[in-house]
Amino acid sequence: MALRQESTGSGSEDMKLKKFTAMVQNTDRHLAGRSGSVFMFGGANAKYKTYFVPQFKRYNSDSFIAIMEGIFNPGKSGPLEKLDELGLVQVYRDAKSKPSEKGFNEFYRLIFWLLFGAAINDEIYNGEISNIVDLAYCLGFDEALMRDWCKAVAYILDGGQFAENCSLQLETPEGNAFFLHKKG
Amino acid sequence: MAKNVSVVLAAAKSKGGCRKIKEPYKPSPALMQKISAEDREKSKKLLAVVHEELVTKIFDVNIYTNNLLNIAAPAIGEINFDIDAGTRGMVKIVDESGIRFGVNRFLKVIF
Repeated sequence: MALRQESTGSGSEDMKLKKFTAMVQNTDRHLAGRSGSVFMFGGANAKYKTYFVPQFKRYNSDSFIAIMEGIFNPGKSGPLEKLDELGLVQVYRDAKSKPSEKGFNEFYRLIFWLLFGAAINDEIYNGEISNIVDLAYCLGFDEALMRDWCKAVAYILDGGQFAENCSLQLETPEGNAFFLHKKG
Repeated sequence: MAKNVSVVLAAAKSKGGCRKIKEPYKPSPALMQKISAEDREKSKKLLAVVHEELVTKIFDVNIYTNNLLNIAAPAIGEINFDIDAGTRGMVKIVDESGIRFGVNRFLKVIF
């Protein structure tokens, strides 16, 4: 089993965390689209933030996850209990009504970052993936959408950047519009 | 002080070599009580997609190889590790403090 260890050089720890931070911020800025703000689950969508932030906060012993939590919830410490109070049933009912386009974008961002967290952290994956999938289902995801969202996560982890002419191939109009800003 | 980074090649030559799913679908209590069995089945199918697209392509760790290939891991820097010709897979990177960064780096190495 030939496994070699190589140093990434002095300051690599700080550098990789900085790169990760920039990557998350840039990606979310792109996903936010015209609003331009980084992850503002405010107003009518605030309840979804109560799911997202604690989801990561409980795993923030992982530096990458802590960075994500810090970006998405700056200067605040949400109660962990909120996770268990998530009204999935209410979300399910809400999804039956017709959310605005902006509302959908917020949902899409939420699911993207939850999947992203699960992809880089085994604890999140093993502890939360069923909840994440249930939430996605409640928000109207089908298999094609979920496949696109997973592809998008893998693409970013592979060092890609979302852009209209990037190499990411998605199958749904929603995925193309949300990640690549392609008009249907 | 700089830390060493251990690099593990995670390869998936076939699905048979993939990591077993640790957590089968467990619907949330709220869904269990309020949402129909049909809906739960649909949610379960979404989980299968996640397993297919994320688990098998990012988390699998089962092959170590020995031909040198340089990989530029985007969030960490350039890392050298060993890989067999013809291997397809992805890398998982763990440093000494336990910080891990999964990189979905498909490899098709031709020598």
